[in-house]
Amino acid sequence: MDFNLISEVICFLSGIIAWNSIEPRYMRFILLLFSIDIVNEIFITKYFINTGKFDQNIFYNLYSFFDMGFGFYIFYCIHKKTYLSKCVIVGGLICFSYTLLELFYIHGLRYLHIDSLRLFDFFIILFSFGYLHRILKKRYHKLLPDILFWYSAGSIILHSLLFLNFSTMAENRYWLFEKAEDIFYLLGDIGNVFYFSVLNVAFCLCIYYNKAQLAIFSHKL
Amino acid sequence: MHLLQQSSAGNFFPQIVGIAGFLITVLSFFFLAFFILSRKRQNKLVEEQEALQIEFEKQLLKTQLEIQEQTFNTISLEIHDNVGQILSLAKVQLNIIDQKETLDKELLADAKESVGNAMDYLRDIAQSLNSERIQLGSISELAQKELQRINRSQVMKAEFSLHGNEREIQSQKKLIIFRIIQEILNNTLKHSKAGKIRMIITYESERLTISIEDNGVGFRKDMTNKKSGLGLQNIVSRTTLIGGTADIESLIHKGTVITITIPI
Repeated sequence: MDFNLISEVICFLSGIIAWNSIEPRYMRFILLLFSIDIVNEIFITKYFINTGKFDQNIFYNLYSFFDMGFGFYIFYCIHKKTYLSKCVIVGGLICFSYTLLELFYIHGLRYLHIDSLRLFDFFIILFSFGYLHRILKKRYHKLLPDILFWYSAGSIILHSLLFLNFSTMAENRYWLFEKAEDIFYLLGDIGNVFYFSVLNVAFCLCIYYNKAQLAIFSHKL
Repeated sequence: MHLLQQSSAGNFFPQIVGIAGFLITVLSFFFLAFFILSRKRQNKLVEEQEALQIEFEKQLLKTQLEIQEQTFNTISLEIHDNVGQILSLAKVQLNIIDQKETLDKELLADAKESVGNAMDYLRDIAQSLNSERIQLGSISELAQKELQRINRSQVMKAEFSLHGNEREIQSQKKLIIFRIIQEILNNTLKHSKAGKIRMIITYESERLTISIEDNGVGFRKDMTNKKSGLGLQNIVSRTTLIGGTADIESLIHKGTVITITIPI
């Protein structure tokens, strides 16, 4: 059973239900990423990659540009008008430059650009902690209705585990161990399931708090 | 390499990675739980502070209204009991002078003195009407004026002493302190049946202590009636509101000592 796909589909559906309640609006883009991910997992992987029509690494290398671009864009929006937005731009430029360098000069397109992906994970963890730090500095902040907090919390766990997984991928000898692949998929599953569950909770809370606000508004009317 | 070969035999290395991953997940989970709880605690603290601030503003408004009401009552009493009486006396004296064939200089001087006294009283009243009176005066000045009023009424003898160097106090806080003093003095006038009242104001480095002592009938805390009990409650709640403490000690037929300590 593919836990990743199931949890992603559930999260996508709850996101669609919560569509009108999702604030800030740019977080709606996350549903676009999920929909593309789901299409990848269900159709492209099944009919193109697994059948050998298209090289898996080339596909993931190209797709990672979109994935990384999305990650940096979301964190740029989160940290907009703060000093961290400049860090996001600089981090993004470093990450993309190193990816291009890795893909076209160091390893080539047929090898997964593990080092730049680890760099990407590192930046995402850093920016997530940056957001938590900003929350901590505020005098008053309600966490439950804050989708950005849940997104940052999920990102910290997912990208920490991805960082660990990519680190094992960088060491070829590790894959000689019998259970290496099992552990790799297990960690990936834990990270993804946690990430999607957290976002699922965030979408549900968006609906709940939006309704509560509407109730207050109608009561005032 | 040696480690890898050794681990390979027991297939141990992937398990270490697995445990590391598990630990990352568990630690992240605990970190987030701790983060949520501490944020919640801080939010609660802010909510409590805001509630206190609202309560403070409410009390301040109430205090301002009470002072205004008290001022009007005092003015009304002063005009009726003092100014009115003195002017009546002056009128009588002038009538007598008018009826006499020769000018009685002594009686005229008395009449002049009466009119002068009435003018003094009116000046006092005019000052009372000034809304900035409390803001401008110091705690000891305001307290002394209240005690002078008591002395003038001749109901009881009032004494005052100041220790330490007087310091500036925030106007809102001063207003509440003044209202506490007024409340204590009013309670003493109404219920104590005392012949003497003494107020001691002491300024220390970080606190202000106001002690008001009388030699009246005293009371037992469990025997206070609803109205005077409410007055005492007001004293305690207002003192707490500005971060101070109120200590009330009373002995039957010995008198009462109320000590207010306020951080400054």
